[in-house]
Amino acid sequence: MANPYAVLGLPPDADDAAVRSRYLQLAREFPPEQHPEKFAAVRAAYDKLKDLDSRAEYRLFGGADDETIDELIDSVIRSGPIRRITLNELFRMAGVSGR
Amino acid sequence: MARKRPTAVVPRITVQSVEAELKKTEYSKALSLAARLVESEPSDSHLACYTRTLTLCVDGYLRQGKVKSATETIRLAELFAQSHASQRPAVAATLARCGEFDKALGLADVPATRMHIADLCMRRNRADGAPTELKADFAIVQAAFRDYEAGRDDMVRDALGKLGLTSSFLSWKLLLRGLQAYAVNDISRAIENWQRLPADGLAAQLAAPLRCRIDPDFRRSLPANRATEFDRATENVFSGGLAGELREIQTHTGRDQDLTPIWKPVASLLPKLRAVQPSCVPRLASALYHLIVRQGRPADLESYRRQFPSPHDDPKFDRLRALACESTGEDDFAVEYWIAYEQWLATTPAGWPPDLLARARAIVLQRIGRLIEDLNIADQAPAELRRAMAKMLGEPLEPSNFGNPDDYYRKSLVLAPDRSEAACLLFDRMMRSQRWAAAERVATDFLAQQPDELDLLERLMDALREQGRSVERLAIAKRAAAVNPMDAEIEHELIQAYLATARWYLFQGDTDSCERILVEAGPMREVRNPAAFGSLRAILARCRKQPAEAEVLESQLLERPGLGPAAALYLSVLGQLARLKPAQRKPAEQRLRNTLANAQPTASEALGLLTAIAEMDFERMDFRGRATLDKKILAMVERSVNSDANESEFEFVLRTLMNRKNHKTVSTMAARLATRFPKSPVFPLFELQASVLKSPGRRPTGTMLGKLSLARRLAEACDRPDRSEILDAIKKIQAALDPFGGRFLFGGPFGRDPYDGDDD
Repeated sequence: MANPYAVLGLPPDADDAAVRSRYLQLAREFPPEQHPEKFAAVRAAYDKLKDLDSRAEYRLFGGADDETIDELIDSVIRSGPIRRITLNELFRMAGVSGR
Repeated sequence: MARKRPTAVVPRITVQSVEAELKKTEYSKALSLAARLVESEPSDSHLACYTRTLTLCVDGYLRQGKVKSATETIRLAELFAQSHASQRPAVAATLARCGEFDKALGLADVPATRMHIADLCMRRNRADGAPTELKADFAIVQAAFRDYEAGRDDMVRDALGKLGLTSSFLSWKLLLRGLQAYAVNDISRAIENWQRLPADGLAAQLAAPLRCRIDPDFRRSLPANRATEFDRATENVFSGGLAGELREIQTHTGRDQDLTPIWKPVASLLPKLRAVQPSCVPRLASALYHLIVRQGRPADLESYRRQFPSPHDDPKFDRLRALACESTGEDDFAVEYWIAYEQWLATTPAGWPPDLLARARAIVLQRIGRLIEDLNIADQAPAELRRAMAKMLGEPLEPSNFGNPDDYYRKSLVLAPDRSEAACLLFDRMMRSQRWAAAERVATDFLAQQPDELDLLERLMDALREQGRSVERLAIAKRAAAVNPMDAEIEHELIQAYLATARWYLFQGDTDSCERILVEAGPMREVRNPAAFGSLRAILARCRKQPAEAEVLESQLLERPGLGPAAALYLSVLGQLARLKPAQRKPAEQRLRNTLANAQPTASEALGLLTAIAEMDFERMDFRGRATLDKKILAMVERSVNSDANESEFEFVLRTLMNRKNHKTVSTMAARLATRFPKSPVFPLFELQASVLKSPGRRPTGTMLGKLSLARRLAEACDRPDRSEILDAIKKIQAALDPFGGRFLFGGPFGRDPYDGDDD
């Protein structure tokens, strides 16, 4: 589960109205019938930030599920630039000895 | 006559048995079986099996470094191919892969053999020994790879153009084209090129990890572990080695693992992460922060501080320490750290919007109050237990010195006056210590600002009921029902409030107000508890000196099937509380005596009586002869065990008795019902619970444990819809049974709250 502010694309000082408006915008953009996973992520993020209580609870106690090493690994792999894979790297990735 | 000896069964050799030996890497056995297979029947499939076995054995031996065995097997393959022309291309491929180019071409000069020669040249990075025309194409491909790696795509295209369709390096041309497409994120073209690669060639083998990332169909065709291997192989290349180092850290972060080994890899990873992906540094810090909360030690916090700056939300790590102490049950330390954290929040740190800051402080203060309440739990223990604990510890039990939880709840409410949680906690504490007026003030103050807060409305309703303040209770119940008219529990509370208020007016002698309340409640609500409302109307008529109407009402009630005993009870009790004259009360009392003397009551009659007396308990109705009446009712309920009711009706009776803490009656009835319904898991469970709750603190006996395992066996064998609930309840009991003695802590058979209190 990613940081809900990042999922909704909101600053940390967003208020109720900003959170709600952004949620509705994203829900329109990613309707559950067409984008079930994305919508579920948006909805989960909205639930964490929807009111002052939720935001305070999240700021105090949340975050434990936001950043896991697994997600970091995923992130470093995804954010690596698309680049040319060398022949030697191909051999290494395939576990083929020789070169 | 000599007995015929049984013939030994020789297992038949099949292709599968050869494959099985190959799987076990038993190469010589596999070869021997494959050879016997060909010997027994030289069919095409058996020949192919032998060739495949030879190939796999050569590869296997070479992998194991057994060069001599590999050489011998190659020799065997050559001899085999000479006598079996159909197998020559396959054997030639093996020879080509082993560098025996001339022999391979001599055996079968076909494109596949040449492709394997080309593959070996690429693998060795040299083409010595290869035919001259292959050497030329090898040079082209090598140059093309150099250009590709240097980003000179035009030169790559020119070079690859020189490789014709018959080139032995065609698969390398496809591999390179795919790589070029991949480098510019043209995924579909990359997939298209790689899909055309011959599956047994080296180029396909090299493309596989990348293809696995982008080609879902290819990924699905792989065994799951192979796909994971490819993921691991590629992730390191794509993350510049970061993923591998993160995985190394991850191996030490399993639940309850010691975090000490992670700090060295963290220290080695951080400079690279800062250089390559700086945005991941705070994320790693956050992940490690929460890991320390969950399973860290003080030394881990020190290691963390050496690597990362303090988090801006927790600069002194008070929150981290508080949460960590909570997770290890060190609540007293947790309170200290939370207090320090709240004090820091009170300094208005930057980055907190004011409303969020006030809310956060309110939440922390409430949490401190809760923790202090838990620390002071000894205060709430019975005096006998406190004495025993003090004796065991050798010192008197002192309450914690963090102050009064009330103060924290109050401060929390000041900061967040619209948060109901603190108000509820404060209210509950006051109610527990019977500070009615203070509790009421908390609720009314809160409701003045948040009139629709159901948690407080319901609590206030309960408190007013406890104090017998029916009129006010009804007003609050109406407010709650207006907030949520669809809530069945609130509707039930409202009906009870109408009933209680109407009774209260009747007992005060205000019959007009009693009538008004009954009219207001309406027939739809009266129908929900006909015995209670009907008897109230009958007694109202008697108080108003309308005996004829009272008699009509009474007879209507008493004649309704199943309602008679409950109505008899209500009429007798209400008559007494409404202070009817003895002569007016006499018939009702006689009727009740007759009812209670019934030798063969049905389960529904028993249940009606029980429900009525339970309602009187709930409403705290006190009257003369109550204790005797209770005993007689229980005796009658006990007699109902002989009636022909079904299993679920008896369950309902026992559950009602459990709720009333009539454990002795439950125990007696459940024992008899367990014999009568031997397949039901519920009755042994009731019997066990009742006998435990009859004598809390008693060690579990063998009989009890036997009943528990009987209940489990029966529950596992039954097909009741609530089977899983029963099994859960049994598991809960098993977990709660303390083999070293002590109190049993568990609820009713269907996960109710723990029973606590006196036996009947």
